[in-house]
Amino acid sequence: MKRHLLAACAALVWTGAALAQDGKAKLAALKPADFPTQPIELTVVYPAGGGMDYTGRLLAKFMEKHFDAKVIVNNRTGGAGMIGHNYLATQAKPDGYTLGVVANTLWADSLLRANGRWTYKDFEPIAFLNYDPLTWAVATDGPLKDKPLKQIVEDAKAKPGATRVAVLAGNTSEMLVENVELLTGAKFTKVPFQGGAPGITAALGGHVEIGVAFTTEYRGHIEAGKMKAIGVAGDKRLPILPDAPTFNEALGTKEILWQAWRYVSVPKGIPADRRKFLEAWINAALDDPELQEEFRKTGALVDRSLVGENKIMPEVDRLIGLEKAFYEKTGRLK
Amino acid sequence: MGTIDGLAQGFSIILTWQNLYFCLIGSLVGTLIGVLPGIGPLAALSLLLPITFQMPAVAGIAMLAAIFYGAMYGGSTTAVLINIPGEAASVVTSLDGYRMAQNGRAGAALGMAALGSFIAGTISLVALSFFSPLLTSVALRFGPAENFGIMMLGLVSTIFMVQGSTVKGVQMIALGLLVSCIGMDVVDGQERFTFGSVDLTNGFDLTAIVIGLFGVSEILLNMEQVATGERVKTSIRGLWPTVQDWRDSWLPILRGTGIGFVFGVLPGGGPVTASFVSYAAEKRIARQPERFGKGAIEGVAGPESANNAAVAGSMIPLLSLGLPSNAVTALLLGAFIIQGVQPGPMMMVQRPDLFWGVIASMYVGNVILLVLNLPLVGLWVQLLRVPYTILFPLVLLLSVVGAYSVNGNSFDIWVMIGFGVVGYILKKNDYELSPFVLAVVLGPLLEQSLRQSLIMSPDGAMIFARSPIAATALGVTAALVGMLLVKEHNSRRGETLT
Amino acid sequence: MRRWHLGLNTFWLLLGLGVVALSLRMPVLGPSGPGGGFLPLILGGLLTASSLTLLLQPVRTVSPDADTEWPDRGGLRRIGAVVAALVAFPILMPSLGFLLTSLAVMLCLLPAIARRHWLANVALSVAASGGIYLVFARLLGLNLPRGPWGF
Repeated sequence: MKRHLLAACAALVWTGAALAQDGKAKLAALKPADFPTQPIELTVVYPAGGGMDYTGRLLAKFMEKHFDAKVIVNNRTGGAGMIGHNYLATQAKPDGYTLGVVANTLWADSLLRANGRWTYKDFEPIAFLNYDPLTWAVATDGPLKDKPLKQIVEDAKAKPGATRVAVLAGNTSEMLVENVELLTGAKFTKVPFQGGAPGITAALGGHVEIGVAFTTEYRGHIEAGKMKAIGVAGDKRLPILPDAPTFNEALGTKEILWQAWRYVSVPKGIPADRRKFLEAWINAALDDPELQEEFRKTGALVDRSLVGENKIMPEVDRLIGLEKAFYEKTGRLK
Repeated sequence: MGTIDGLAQGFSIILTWQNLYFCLIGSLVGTLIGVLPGIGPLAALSLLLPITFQMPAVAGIAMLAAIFYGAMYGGSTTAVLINIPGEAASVVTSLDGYRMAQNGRAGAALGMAALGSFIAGTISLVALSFFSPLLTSVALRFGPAENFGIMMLGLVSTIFMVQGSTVKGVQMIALGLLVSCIGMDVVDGQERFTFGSVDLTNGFDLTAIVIGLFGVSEILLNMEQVATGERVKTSIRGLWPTVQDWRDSWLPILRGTGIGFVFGVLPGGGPVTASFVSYAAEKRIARQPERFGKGAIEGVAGPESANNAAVAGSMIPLLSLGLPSNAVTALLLGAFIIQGVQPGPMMMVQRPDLFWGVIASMYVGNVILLVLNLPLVGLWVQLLRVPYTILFPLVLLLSVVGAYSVNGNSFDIWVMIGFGVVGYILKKNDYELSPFVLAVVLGPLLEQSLRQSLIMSPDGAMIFARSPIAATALGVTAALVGMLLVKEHNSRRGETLT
Repeated sequence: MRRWHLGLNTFWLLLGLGVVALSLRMPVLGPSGPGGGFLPLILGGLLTASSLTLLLQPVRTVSPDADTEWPDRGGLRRIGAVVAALVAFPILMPSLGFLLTSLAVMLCLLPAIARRHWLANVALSVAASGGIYLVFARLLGLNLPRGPWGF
């Protein structure tokens, strides 16, 4: 018995190694003769330590595992991401050495802040990394603890402004609240905080009623039974929050989708062979169950059904379309 | 599990060769980056963060935490020796520390800074170990209104630390707050005073400002004299604090510890604010306040203790609420999350090994730092013998590297140069720059908490009256402003009479 | 200090008035509380008032000294050289990289500020720029700008 187990283990290890070898061989076949000869630079437009940063660093680590080349992460921060987006759109060379690890904030910057200097059309998405929907949370000893989302929204319609929501100003979390208001006619008092965690803490302390945050920002409070999620701004419910409905489910809407949607993007116009190779390389790293597990640890969700240009492009276009429509309706975009 | 059991477990985890090794590395790196002007703990932590991915959780986080408090130990060194603070929390240390060095008492200043840091660090760790749950519930009571009250109090009390004209101090605070308004509005995301520049959307970076105002302007001041290669400044008297120094310092150290710890626990506080408030308090309490700014050892002992205590204090919201109170603890939070650990109320239950391991590592780290820093005092003091012309190229290049590495952007070098020239002109005209720095740090928090309070409140400013904490803090602030006005009025009348 | 005292305070005064003017163009009091112009307006006012106080005060009471002591011509030249050297960094670094820029800057700057044998200056330039480069770019892995030759 023991011997069988050992043999099975050995076989597994061997297959694993063989698969990795196999993957490397496949990649080597796609590799252009003159690329890469220098380190690949993943540009992250947010500071070290944040969600985008460790997504980028994990990707770099696993890209190095699946192909023998150096991959470095460069944080080009400032201007709330605008500096980095600007760099990627206007200064980065389309030679395949500079990749952007970006998120949907790129679209908002392109639509609202770029002032025509560049647009999201200057980029080509090549691989979808992961996504993380925003949620609404309430304190379990607060006034809203027993109310379903639908009821809270109804109340906010009956008594406009009586419910206070902590948001991150000018960010997706504020957009989420505004989107709910727009579609339901409810009115919340939006109190600006510098991020999800401070908002959650304010909700815990009873200074606001609702916090808007990613689940990573308050998982500990959920487990301690202090906070509870009441709504998910994604397409489907989250595995760790089976009881929290999506906004669309609870409110009977379709377009409430506010999430961090992270992907790899390249400046438009890189040589086709390099592009193909990079795409295969990044996807080899993303298929690694270890990387998927690392992403899950940070609270992000992986969806491997979106692989390849013809799958990602339409999805990006769909999401941008939703965002654009919302900005036009709220008068942010004319 | 009780605190004692927890600590015992923590020590049994940290006292292995491997974990001790990483704690030592963190302390060394922290001291080094604290000493080097420009490279602050934030830059060092972001550099070393990726390395911790491959390390066991306790070792990695113990190392990163050690860099944070190690930098507080090291930061005083250049502030005392060459009047260039290693990072923002050491700005006030240079006020009296540098004077002491000019009087030949650099050793006493550095020694007292290290000992004060050790005492403050250890006392606040004891408080952290035993009263964490209690302090957490206090921290939760601080909403926007309470924060606004505390920050007003902190800002106004620094006017007391200004040496010369009070009005000039007010000008510096107003200018600092205005600089902090540049860029994206913290409340509604609108750009202010950016004049269409993308580089300005996040405003001026604090690190670049501090390097410019203190580092570059000090270089320019030194350029006034011909650099002949002669040794810097006076002879060195005594390497260690004297009995009299101890008598002067033990109370400031204890007060600094209390102030630092409280400001560390509070959201938006942190080492910088703590050190300023401690200095202002010491000067206010002192029997001869005129000694401050001329080499009073209390002006070194208090703030240096405060910034170390604040580091331990800021671990409380981080560990028990998952709430970072400044950029450095935000990075530490990232390190926890990458390790798959969510700091928060359940951490003590789910990962007692990590929770207590990190706390134990901080006790150990403080001992390591003391052992490391005391012998170094002798070495640093010898640095004063190195001719300035040799030191100068290094300081210049370090400033450039420090400013650039914040964002990887040349714009921050321009900011540094600009503030360097401005700082030089202001110093020549007897303006004090430290209130300016505190105003830049507190500006966004102050504005945010004020506007948050008023947005939240159904009846406007009444929200401050309803909160006992906010009402008390604002009442004391008003009393301080009143005292200043009376003082200003009296001195004006006195001068017109003479 | 008289001239500079007047000059600086006039500058603060104009700055304060400018800030007031700009912040009045922003929302000062919105429907849900103070807007983006609220704090700048107060600060601009505070700056204006404090500079006026100092300007209207008899100069004698502000500063007993005659005027700010500025360095002699040589001192000003050295200060100018250092500022020029610093300005060279953001201009040259993107194309030349950190190492070459710092070496070039030091080679030009050191002779201008310290009277020493030229060999000593060259040695110090090489040691300082090389040392900083080794520690930060190589040892700590900081992303300093790289020149055309990869360093």
